[in-house]
Amino acid sequence: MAAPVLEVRNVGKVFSRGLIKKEELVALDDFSLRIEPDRPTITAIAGESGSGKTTLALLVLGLVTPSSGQIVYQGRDTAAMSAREWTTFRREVQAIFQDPFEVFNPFYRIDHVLETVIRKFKLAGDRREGDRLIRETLSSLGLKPDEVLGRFPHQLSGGQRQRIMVARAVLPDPKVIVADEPVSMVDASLRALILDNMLRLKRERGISFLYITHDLSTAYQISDDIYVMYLGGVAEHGDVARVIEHPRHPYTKLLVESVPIPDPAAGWGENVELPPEDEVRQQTRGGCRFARRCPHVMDICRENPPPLYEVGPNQYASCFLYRDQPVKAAGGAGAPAGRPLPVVAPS
Amino acid sequence: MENGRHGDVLRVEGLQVRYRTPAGEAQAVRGVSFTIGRGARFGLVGESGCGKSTTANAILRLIKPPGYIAGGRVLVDGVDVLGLRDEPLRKLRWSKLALVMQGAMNSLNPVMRVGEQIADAITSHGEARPSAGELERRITRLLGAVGLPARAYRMFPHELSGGMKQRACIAMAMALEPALIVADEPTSALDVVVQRVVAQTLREVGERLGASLLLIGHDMGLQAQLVHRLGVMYAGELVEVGTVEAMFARPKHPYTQLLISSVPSLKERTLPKPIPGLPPSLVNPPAGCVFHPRCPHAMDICRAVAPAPREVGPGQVAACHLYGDDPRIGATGAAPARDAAGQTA
Repeated sequence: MAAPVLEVRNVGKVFSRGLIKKEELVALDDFSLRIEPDRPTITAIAGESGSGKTTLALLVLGLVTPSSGQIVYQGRDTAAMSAREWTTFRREVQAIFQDPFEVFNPFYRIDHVLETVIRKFKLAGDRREGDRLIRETLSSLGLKPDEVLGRFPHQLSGGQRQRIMVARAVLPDPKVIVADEPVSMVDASLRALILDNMLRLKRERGISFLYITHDLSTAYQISDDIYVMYLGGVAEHGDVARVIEHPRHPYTKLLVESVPIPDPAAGWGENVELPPEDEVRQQTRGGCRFARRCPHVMDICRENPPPLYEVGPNQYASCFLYRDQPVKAAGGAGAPAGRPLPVVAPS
Repeated sequence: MENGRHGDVLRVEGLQVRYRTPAGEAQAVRGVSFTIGRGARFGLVGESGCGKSTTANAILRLIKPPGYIAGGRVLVDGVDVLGLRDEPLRKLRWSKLALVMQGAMNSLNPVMRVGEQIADAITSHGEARPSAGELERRITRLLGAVGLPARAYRMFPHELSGGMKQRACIAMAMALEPALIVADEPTSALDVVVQRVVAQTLREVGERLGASLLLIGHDMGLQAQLVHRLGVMYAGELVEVGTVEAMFARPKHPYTQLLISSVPSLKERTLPKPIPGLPPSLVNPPAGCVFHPRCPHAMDICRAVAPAPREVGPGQVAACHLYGDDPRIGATGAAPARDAAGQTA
C-alpha cells in the first residue's frame, strides 16, 4: 500500500512560558491523522478556541516544530528531510489563512504575490508562461484576471482578496492545502463561493484539504472526515455525516446542539452552564479533558485519559461511555495505544 | 403622526443616515421605520453594508463624521433622542438605553477591576448615588445574573475568558435597568457554546428586567432563537418586518426568501446557494426598488417605482410590488401572474 500523502503521528506540542517558574501549556497532545493517497479528501479539524486546531495547522505546515511525534509527508519524516525534499514539501503543502486583509503587502500590486510563487518554485520557463498560468488559475476560481491583475489589495473586495489567496495556494500545484478558517471573515454568499472552490479543487485537481474551522455547518457541508478537537485532544472523529448526525461524544453532542437552528420552532433546549475557564484548564492532566464539563462523568474519567473507542463504522469517540466497544487500533489515525485500564464501576 | 403609542420602548420613524464620501453622499440608511414594544426582542439582519449597524448607532446617536443623521426621529420611551442636548443624552444612555457591541469585551479597561468598572457606570449615569456597600451588593447580584462568580468583581479583564468578559459587558449594560438594550453582533467573536450561554443570558436578564432588546446580527440561527420580531434590511432600507415565525415560515420579500434559503444548517449537506449579484452602490442607488437588479421576480414597475411597505400577512409588512395593493394576503413567493402596470406605490 502506498504511503499516506500526509501523516501526523502521535504529535504533541507544549508551549512553555515564564523564565523562572516554567508554566506549560499543552496545545496538542498525542494527535494522529492520516490523509490517504487513494483519493483526495477534505478533512475538517473542528474545535473552539484553545482546542489546538491552529497549532495543528502550523505544525503540518512546518512553521512550528513538534515537541514529540512526527509529521510524515509521502513517507518521509519532515524533520529528516534534505533541503531538496523540503522545497518539494513546501511546494506541495500550501496554506490559506483566515484574514484576507493581513496577508497582502499594501504597497505591492496583487500580481506580486502570485509572481513570487512562480519565481520561488520555478513554475514557469518565462514571463509569458507565468502570466498564462496566473490567468488560468484566476479564471478557474471564478475571478476575471483583467479585473484583479494590476490592482492594489485595497482596490479589491474581501472576497476577491480571499480568492487570490486561494489562487496563490493553488498555483504551485499542491497535493495538500491547509485552510485555516478561510471563510470566517467573509459574507455568507462569498463563503459559499469559496467553499465551492475548495470542493472543485478537490474534484478537479485532486487536492486534499485540511479544513480548520470552528464552524460545524460548513465542515458538515464540504468535508469527508472530521476531527472534533477539545483542549488539544481528539474528542471524536470519523465520517463527517456520522459524527454530525449521530454524535457520540458528550462534547460533540453539546457542540452540535449549540449551533443555533434557523427555525424559531426548534428551540435550543435546556440552558447550559459553563464552568469557569481556569477550573477547566486545571484538570486537563490525568483524566478525560472533558470530565469537568461532562454530564455523564464517572470516576474512571477523572483517573485515566479515555482512548478512542470504535463507536460505529468509521466513527471513533474518546469517551469511557463506550468502553465496551473495541479500542481503535494503533497505527491508524487517532488514539494513543490503549493502556490497560482499571475496571471502575460507573458512579 | 401619532406620538409614541403606549408600550413602545423604541420608535424609529423615517430614519436617514448619510456618509459624505469623495464619490458623493452614501445613503447608508434610507427611511427606516420600526417600533419595539416593552419587553420585546427585535432583530435586524442583512448582508454587511446593509445599514443595520448604522441604524443601531443612529439610535444611540453614535454616528461620527463623515456620517450624519439626515432625517427622521428616534423616540426612546417617548423621548426624542435626536433632539437631545449632550447632558440629557449622556444621562439617557445607560439609564434608558444600553449598548453591547461586537467585541465589547475589548472595551473593558484593562487596568480596572471588573466590579469597579460596573460601579463607575452606575455612579456616573445613575440618578441616585448608592452607598459603597449597597453598590457592591448590587454589582455582585448583576454578575450572578449573567452567570459570573462573585469573585469576578475583584478580577481584572485579562483574568476572564472572552465569553466571561462579554457577559461582564452585559452585566454593565443592565446595571441601570435600561428600557432598551442594543446588542450589535454580541456573540460573533465567541465560540458556539459560549455564544449559546451569552444568548441565554441576554434573553433571561431581559425578561427579568422587562428590558427590550434590539439585536443586530447576520446570524439567522441566533435571530431565530432569540427574537420575537425580525426586520430585514437591504441597501439601507427595511424591506420586510414580521414575527420571527412568519419570517422564517412565510417570507414574502424575494430578498428575505433568498436570505433564508442561503442560511447554512446542520440539516442539509449541500452548500447553500449564494444570492447572485452584489448589493448596489449606496451613492447611486438604483431607481425604483433597490433590490430589483438582483431580484428573480423583477417586473417593469420595480425599475421605475419604489414599492411602499404594505401588509402581506398578520403583522407582516414587506416593501415589494409583487403584493401590489391587493388585499388578498398569503400570495406565495412565486410571482403572481398579473399585470403590475397601473399599480402605484
